Amino acid sequence: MTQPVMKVDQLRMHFPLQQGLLDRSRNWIRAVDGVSFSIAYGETLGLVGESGCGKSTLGRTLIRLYRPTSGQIEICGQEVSALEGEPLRKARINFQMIFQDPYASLNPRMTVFDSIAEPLRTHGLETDKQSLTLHIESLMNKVGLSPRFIRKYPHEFSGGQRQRVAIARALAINPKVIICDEPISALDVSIQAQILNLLVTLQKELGLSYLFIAHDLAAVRYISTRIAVMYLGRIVEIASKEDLFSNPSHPYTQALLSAVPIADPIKERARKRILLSGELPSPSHPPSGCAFHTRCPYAQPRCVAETPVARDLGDGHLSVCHFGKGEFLPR
Amino acid sequence: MNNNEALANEMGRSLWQDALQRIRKNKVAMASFWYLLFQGTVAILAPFLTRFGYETTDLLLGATAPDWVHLFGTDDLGRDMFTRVLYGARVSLMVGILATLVSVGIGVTYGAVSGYTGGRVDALMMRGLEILYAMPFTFFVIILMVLFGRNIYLMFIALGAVQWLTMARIVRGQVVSLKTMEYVTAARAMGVRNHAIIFRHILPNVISPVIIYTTLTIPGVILEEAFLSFLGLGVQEPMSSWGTLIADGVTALETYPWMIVYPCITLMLTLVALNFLGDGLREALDPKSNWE
Amino acid sequence: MIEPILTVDNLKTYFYTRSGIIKAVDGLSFSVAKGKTLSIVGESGSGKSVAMMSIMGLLPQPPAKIEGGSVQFQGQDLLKLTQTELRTLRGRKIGMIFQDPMTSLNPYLKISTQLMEALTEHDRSVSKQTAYERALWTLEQVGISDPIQRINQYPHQFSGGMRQRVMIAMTLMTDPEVIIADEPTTALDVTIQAQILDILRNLQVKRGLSMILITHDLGIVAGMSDEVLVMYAGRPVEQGTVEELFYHPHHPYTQALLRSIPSVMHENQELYSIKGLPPDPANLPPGCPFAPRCERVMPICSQIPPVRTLSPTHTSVCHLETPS
Repeated sequence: MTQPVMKVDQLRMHFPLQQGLLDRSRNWIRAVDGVSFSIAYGETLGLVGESGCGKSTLGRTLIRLYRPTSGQIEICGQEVSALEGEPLRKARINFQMIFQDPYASLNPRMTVFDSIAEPLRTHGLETDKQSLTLHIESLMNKVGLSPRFIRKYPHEFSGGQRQRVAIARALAINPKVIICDEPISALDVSIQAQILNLLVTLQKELGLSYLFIAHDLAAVRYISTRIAVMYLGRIVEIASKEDLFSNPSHPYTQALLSAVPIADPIKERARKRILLSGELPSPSHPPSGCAFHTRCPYAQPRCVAETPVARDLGDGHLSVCHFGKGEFLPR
Repeated sequence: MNNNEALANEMGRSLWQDALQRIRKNKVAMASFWYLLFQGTVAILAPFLTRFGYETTDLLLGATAPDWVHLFGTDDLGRDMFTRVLYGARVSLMVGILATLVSVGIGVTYGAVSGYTGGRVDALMMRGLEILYAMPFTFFVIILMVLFGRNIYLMFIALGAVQWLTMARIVRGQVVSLKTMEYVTAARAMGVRNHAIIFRHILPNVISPVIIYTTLTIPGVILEEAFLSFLGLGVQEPMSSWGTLIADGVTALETYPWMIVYPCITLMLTLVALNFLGDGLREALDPKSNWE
Repeated sequence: MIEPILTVDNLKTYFYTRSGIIKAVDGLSFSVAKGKTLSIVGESGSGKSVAMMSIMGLLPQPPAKIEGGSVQFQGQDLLKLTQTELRTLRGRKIGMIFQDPMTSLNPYLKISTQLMEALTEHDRSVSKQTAYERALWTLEQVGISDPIQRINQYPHQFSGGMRQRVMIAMTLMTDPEVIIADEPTTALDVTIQAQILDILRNLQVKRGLSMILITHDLGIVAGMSDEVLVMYAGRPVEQGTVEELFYHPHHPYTQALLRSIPSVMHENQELYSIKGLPPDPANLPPGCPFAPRCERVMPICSQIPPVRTLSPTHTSVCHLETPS
């Protein structure tokens, strides 16, 4: 087996919950609570979950905007979870991020040229101005933007074009992994398809690896090789996308898949939904045992008492549940 | 278009170059700029532009209305008002510029550091600011004067030292909210160094409120100087400033109205020009503004 | 044929701005039958929300101006009513649910106050006791468990999904005939979205409500609607029953839209994407607004396309004779 481009082991990211000036009894929000996975070169791992499940925090921890509470992050063979200062800055050349909202992720006072040049300047890859311009123009061509726009400011672009600028910026220093944090959810339907296709094309062309964070299961299915499902700070199921969609094992994955509306009136109306009761529990007080037991349609006394361990269903399909197929009983 | 120009166009000019180009197209702002420049030059060249001295009294003449000898008339001591307004501009403009520079310099630095560092440093710096805020302004100036003796430059510093408090607060508030903007997060994720984040991403975006507040500060300090002078802490007779001239003019409002009219008009024109220039600058620095 | 409850005819809403006239809604006609759901689909800027705001008289005028058309509801033309008359109708006979339940509730007032106000605002003769009881009942209707306790809480004590339930409860207070839901689940997670859509569907069956659902999610359209109207750049492009639209789309834009969404149900080989960008609303191309992005564009497309009647319920605004 080849070396993965990113390997995450038992990653935890806990944030202190501010209590008051004198109250020292700290509470913690366990945004990411023991996550392990790896991404192979040229692969896309989709990460899905609902808001508040910690998927965005996980992305931001991996890009080292936070220092993880514990656990390891290995990117291109380099352990980055504990790096600080200059070594961390140097390591960043291997991983970049694309953010959700292209209206917010570009500085309104910087031209396209300056935005794309920034990572190059930061990492000392800036050459003379003429070849820098050529480089930026070729990046713009690559992401489908006319180099005529090099002098324009973000507000002169539509959402989809801004996201292309953000992608060009992420590509500028030739990273190996790009973490995409909901890169299409702020865009219009017809533009979403354009950006998804662009990401796929770039991956083939440049051999990139993606961690694609999204709540849109259909988009994740389109772009991913493997998919991880997150619930309350943990990965509850991870499998190849074929396996996950044809044979979801964890009750949460099943409910999630059944909840996505599909654009086919007859099938959509005939579908049986697993309606989950209640809402997401607070990550500062996660339920005992299996965190999903408060909403699980098949919860048993064992689920309240015992934390489940990952069960291997073959071919790298892992599900963190006490029960396997055919063992589910209504509560 | 020759090759160099074409290249320069393709290179992407900086925000500042863009702003310069935009403000040049703004006629009102440019007119204000030239007016202020003219006002400043005239103030510097004051001794060469008038044959009277600002302190030369002519008690026999007394207060006369404007005529061809005394363009702005004379005050009740027979001093030429035109000369006194010219010399007054020296003090008032200097107060305005120096005090504002002090306030912008300290205020922006203090506010940016406090806001960007955050946490305990921020809390400590802000409490310090509040202590200074609580100090009565006149009391503060009197202490300075008592300690260091009366000195016109000290007054500039004192005025600036009071004005920067609000500036620091405004800048800090902006920086705190800018810090959480996603493009700043994006820059951090890219590995951009702290100083580059401050200079490239934060400060350019604080400029609008700083300019707005500065255009408010300059008239503010010009008027405060008048107040201090009135208390006997600022400019002393026979030296004049616009503030003292207006204060004198008020007392003679009914008998010699020209004594208040001319200083008022000059002050007003300057303040209006400042406001237009500030507005123009703010617009020129905002790439979103429609300057066509 | 069922009697329509709300009929919009040739509605035109323009915005007068410095950069020119923006024809946000230009010639929109549709009707909603009693107990049925009409979905309006379109991308942002297609004018779907502006159309609803025009019907409800909620647009600031100026810059907006309703240039023509009529909205018939219970024998009245809503566009001819005064603001006061419209206010009594709004919320009482026609309820609205917005995208963001966070900003549509007042954070300083208890849920009970806000719910009761929705009723007493329109009918001062209602006693406090009656209003309170009705509030409890509506909360139960939208599936909020333990309403007696929850009714005394403030909005921040509710999660996003719960707040949207409260919003629905609020529109139910006055027993409306029509509900306009503007992207009601866009801000919510899929599992919560499924709950809310389930509530809306049940209410509709139980109470015979008519609904106008504005959304960009074709999956929701497929599951919720009887009829669908597709809008592009302020104009209607295709209208028909949900089956006609999904299985026999005529307009190239509808076809492209359906092809460009990935599905969870099956493997997608390559995703179709519509070229280019939505047009600048201030500078629409002459003729068909979709022409610059259309794969089947013809020279004639620079002229205003005709309305083609494909079946008694199915119309398409396109020069194309036959669908491919």
